[in-house]
Amino acid sequence: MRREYVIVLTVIAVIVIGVVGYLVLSGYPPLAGGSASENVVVVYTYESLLAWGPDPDSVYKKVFDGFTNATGIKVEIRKFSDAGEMLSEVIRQVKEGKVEADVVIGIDNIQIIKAKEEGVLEPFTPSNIGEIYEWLIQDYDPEHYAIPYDYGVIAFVYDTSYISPDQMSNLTFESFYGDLGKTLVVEDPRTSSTGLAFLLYQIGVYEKYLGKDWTQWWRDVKPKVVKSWGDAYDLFLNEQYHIVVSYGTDPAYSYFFYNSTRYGAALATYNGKPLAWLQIEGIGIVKGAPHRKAAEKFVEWFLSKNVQEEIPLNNWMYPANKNVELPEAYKYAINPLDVELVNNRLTQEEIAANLDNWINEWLSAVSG
Amino acid sequence: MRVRVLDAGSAIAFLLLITLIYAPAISGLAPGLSVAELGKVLSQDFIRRAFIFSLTQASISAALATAIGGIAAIALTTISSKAASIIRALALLSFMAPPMIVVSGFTALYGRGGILSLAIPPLRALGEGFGGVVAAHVFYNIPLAMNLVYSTLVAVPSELVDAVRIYSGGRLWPVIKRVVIPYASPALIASYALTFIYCFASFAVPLTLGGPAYSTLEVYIYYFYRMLFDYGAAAATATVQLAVLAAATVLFTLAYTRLPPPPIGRRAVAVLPGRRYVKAASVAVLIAVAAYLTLPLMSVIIKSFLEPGNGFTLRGYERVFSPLFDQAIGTSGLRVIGNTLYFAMMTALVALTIGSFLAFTGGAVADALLTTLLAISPLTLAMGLLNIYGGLLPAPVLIIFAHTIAALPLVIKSLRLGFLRVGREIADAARVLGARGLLYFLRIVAPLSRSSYFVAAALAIVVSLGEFGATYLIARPEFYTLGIVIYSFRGVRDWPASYAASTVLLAMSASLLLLLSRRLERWM
Repeated sequence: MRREYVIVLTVIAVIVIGVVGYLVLSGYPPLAGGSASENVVVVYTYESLLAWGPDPDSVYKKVFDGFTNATGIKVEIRKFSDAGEMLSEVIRQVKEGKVEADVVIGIDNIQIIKAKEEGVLEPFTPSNIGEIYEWLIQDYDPEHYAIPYDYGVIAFVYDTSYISPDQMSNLTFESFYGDLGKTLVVEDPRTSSTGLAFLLYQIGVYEKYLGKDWTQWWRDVKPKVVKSWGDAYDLFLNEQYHIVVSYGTDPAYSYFFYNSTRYGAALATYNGKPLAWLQIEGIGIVKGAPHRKAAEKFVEWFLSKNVQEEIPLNNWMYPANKNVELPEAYKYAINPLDVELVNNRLTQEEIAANLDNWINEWLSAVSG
Repeated sequence: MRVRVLDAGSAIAFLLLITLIYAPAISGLAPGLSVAELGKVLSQDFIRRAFIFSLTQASISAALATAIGGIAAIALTTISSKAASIIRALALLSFMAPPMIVVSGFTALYGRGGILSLAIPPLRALGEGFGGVVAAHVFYNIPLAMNLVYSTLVAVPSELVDAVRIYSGGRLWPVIKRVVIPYASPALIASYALTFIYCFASFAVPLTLGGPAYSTLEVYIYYFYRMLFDYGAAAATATVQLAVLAAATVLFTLAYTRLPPPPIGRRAVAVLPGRRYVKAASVAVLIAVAAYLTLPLMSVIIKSFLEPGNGFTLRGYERVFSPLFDQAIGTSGLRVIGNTLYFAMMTALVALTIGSFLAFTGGAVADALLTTLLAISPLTLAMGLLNIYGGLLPAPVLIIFAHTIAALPLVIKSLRLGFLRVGREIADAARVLGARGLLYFLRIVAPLSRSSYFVAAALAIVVSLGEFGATYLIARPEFYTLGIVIYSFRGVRDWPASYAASTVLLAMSASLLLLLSRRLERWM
């Protein structure tokens, strides 16, 4: 055979392999990930959902396999490093008109503003909504684009092996000028819902209580900023940083697991009164969800007492379902009802109007 | 090769360049080409800071990489050519290593609690922030500077070195001043400019090691495009970036055209006198450079077998090779491996086909157009590809396009070298006997430059395996590659899986490069 034929035939063969390869990759459902069948619900969430209990595997089975056993609907889960990243992906899907997600778990009371603005959720009123605290729903989203499933306050969690409780008593943001600030790790508000909540906490305290320029704190303290809550907590547990922006329930966690009060939680105070930012997390259905009916059933299942009673010891937040009793360890947690909430002075409307600017100003402050 | 603007081959070549590269590039930039958008972006403090940071870190990284690479190149000429070729192959591996692997390696070695930073605390400066970004960029670009400078030193005539040595009584400095510096300076300038370009538009390294305080403009392009969905701001940022890259590209082109043609199969002249202390110093330099270039990669391999705090594990590999749906990726690990191989193979095929055209018929104008490719960052091109072809073509095709564009400059360079080596006598004889155009190419040129085709294919595959930025912008989970899932696994903090994915990817690139190391050497 002449040489050029060999070359031409080789090229054709490779093209054929290429096309066949493409067809196999794009059309082979068991490997493709997506599923067209009605008997499935695609759930997006963040990686640490319900992952912090004594037996995460069995809780996971109870919540997700339990749903399948009860309804015959398979659950496909996709996890993101943080809720912010999850929301970005869902916005992208809706914009591109290729929606794959049915349910999102973990949209918090700030992200819900953006989610509604971008029109990525569809309102749904579950049949068991009466079991959820009404005040939470009012604070979170009275229009039911998403429904709260847990709540808790953002706090400075510190390691008492390095930081004494004395240093953290009567804490203010100003306390971080100096040594405390050097060992503080916070989350990036662009990618982490915890980070965004903390930013608003700090802005709220400076703007609404102290009447000072909030950006100065970031310029002067320059805390370590990482992408997600998980990254921040890793640095904290590895004893590389000794104060982490986390949740008021962390001491309860420490007591429950280690019978220890090694990890403390503190809030910034104003005139001796602790101020806190309440984070509420919700579950919602994506606009244009491919499996709407299954999604509705899943939301109701997730809000039911059966699932909600796993929240306190596995997600380490207060459950939104009022029929759930709190475990004993929660006496060490900061109860949102006992502190003054900065959220009451910084309304959702104000946040919606200013959020983009604030993030830009924050970026300017931390990049300086 | 003459410029034959009017013939069919050239026409196709230009058409390809325009549809594949220039139309997307312009379309990627277009939404930002307005006073309003540019003003909006430039009025942001953080963009101005990112601009300054991009500039500073790129200048410093380029200077360090060029200096260290240059010194290493001189040191290479003092050791045996076999040892030199092993070091150069190792160095190529670092240059081609996927960014996520390098970042993982730097974190493992120099991060807080890293292997080396625990022993020597000041090394922690290399693990994050400004120092981390510069250290990783230097890691990437030492090989580039080393190889460019080395290949010009190979071209130094040995008579010249001998003459200078005799006249100067065997002293070291005159040799450096009269031979090494004049010969190496175009290569030093070219590698400074090229390194500057790569560092200025760097994405994965500042994204992960820098954090918000140390972000490049490229990171903000991603931020505007993917997180804020502000396409205008993304394009305006890309435009600002383009201005700087274009200037650096001009500098690169000026210096590069002064480089001597790459010699074939020549041994380096020992430009330095063979004294014992010179040799000892050279060996010390090379060991230090080799350690700096290999340790991050080694640490990744080791960590892939370690469960944090729990000893040996294969769990990471089980996850990477699992056929089951993976929650962190959005598809199965096995499928990701399939995707990676598929994209790599298709990239090689498409890049070789288009590259043959451009290298064979394109001539000087196509060359110039290709050089300007350096000024267009991967994310700018990816945005443009999505703008123009996003609605028309499926994501995998776009990814293959993006990888092909990234691979083309290397592919064309290596094919061009192969074509040049087809002897003039053979070419003339073939022409006289009636072989022209396609026939001449298929019967004479292609078979005779087989070796450069192997090299070009290998390089295209390695580029595709390592590409991160454009794939990350375009791909949806079902088309993720290993380079992306390293990042996904990091996101859910499954370290063994992240390192295992890195190791698999590294093994693929390394085996290809080592397999072809003898041929590669002639290409470099």
